[in-house]
Amino acid sequence: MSFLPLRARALGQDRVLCVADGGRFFRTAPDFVERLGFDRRAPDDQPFLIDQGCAIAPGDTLGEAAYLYALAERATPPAALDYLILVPTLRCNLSCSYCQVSRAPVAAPGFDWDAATLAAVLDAIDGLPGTRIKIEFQGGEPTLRPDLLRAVIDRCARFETRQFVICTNLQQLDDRILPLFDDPEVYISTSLDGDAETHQRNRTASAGATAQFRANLEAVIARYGPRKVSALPTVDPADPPEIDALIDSYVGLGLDSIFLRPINYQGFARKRHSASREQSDGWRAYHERFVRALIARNWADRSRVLEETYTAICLRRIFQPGADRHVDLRNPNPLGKDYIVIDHDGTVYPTDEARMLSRSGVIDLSIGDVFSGWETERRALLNRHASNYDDPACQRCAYQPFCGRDLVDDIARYGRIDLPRLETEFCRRHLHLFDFLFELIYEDDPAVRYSLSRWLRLDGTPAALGVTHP
Amino acid sequence: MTASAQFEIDGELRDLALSAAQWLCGFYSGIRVELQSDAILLSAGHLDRDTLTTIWTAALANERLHASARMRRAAAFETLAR
Repeated sequence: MSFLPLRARALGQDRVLCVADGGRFFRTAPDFVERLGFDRRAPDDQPFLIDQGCAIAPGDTLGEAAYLYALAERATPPAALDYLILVPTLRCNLSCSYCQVSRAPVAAPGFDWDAATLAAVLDAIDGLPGTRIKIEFQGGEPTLRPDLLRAVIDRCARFETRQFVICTNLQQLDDRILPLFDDPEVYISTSLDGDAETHQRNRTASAGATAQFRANLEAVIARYGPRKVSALPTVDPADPPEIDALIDSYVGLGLDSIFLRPINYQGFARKRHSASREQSDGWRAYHERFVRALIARNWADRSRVLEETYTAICLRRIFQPGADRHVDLRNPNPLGKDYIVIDHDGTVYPTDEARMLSRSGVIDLSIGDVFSGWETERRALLNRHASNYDDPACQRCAYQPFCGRDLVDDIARYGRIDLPRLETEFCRRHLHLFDFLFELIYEDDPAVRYSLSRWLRLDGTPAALGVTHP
Repeated sequence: MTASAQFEIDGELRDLALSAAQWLCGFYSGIRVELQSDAILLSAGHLDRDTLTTIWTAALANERLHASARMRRAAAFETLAR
């Protein structure tokens, strides 16, 4: 009897999606699925399944090898540490209501790397084994300490491939900061919550500060071009901005990628935006309308391609395993291995969200420190639960090959990692997202296919993106 | 308007059907599952009868596929982990 490494999920009336363990998929009618499930295949079913890599006949060693290869292709490969999130200061010059990082006031002492911590960070960089490095500076507001940023960037000169991202509120641009930004290997990441009124309500609190931010953002885009800058909105799901206004605020600046983020249930948001623990159906509907608005705009104006970042990442998870290295959606999701966070006091965390939970006093998820190391029992304990292979719900889920595991998100929302998977926001969110993506994949609309093809970075637009078996 | 669909549970596949019904609640939101003596009744306010039937067909087949593939799949993942 053939091995059928398949899972099935209904896509609506009279349509079922079948997904193989290695991620290949097809859509079919319920009759076929019933034949599959109960071993009543018709004569032409088997050739189709084998051709699609969805069946392995007895004794087919090549098919077995291909199956294992496909599984391996989907799994996160072991990798050396080459991505550091560094928090040189916890001080910040803003007080955003939903701040997830538990900032310190600008004048507060004791919230920056001291000389010993800087030296230990630089030693850690010297000890990295690979030839490439990516460093993301977070905070607080990291541009309050351009000297520390410069010290780190200069220390990375030996790496063949370097990328630095400075996550900044862009409230301040001066002769100390601009030389950092001038470095072609430095990218700028900032928050842009929509139009001026929304941004001011959420972040800057005053018209003056809002205008300053806007002027600085326009200045860096004019100076370096839009490709050097990424901006992300943080949206209050209870009061989201009008979709076209939000898109226009990005398009007007030449920014094509919008990472639609609801308020993260971290830091100050845990108290001030407690509803952010769970996303609502209203938010999911808003997200779908947002993506469809982008699809309509891309069809109307082919000179540029707009995308919602996370939707595009999930789409590439379906078709292009390994294309993105988005550390919040991968399986296994090793913690403290290929990337770490080093806090203002030298404490090491496996993720930035873990740092936030610790700062908020929810739970200490530190795995060590930059002085004595982080290959600890605490790290090993977290990594015993870092995949979705063993979860009984994930074992039955058609989207398992594309999905991931986020222990820290579960701990942040529920204080535990053993909640039944289907009851977690992570699972509900991704069930919805992948359902929506497969709806788009099989939608007979050239505008939809056009956008999906652009988000997949394809040269052309195929006639169909998904296989259908009648 | 609430739609419903009833599916008989074959004696041999009763355990499989019960398992499928249990998982269905989590995988498809807004569906009420009621277990009767030899049948399962699905109802939902936002889905029609044909869609409920498709969901049941997919859920039952999925549970059967899972049961058939479980051991070999686990062995493959174990091979990967090594």
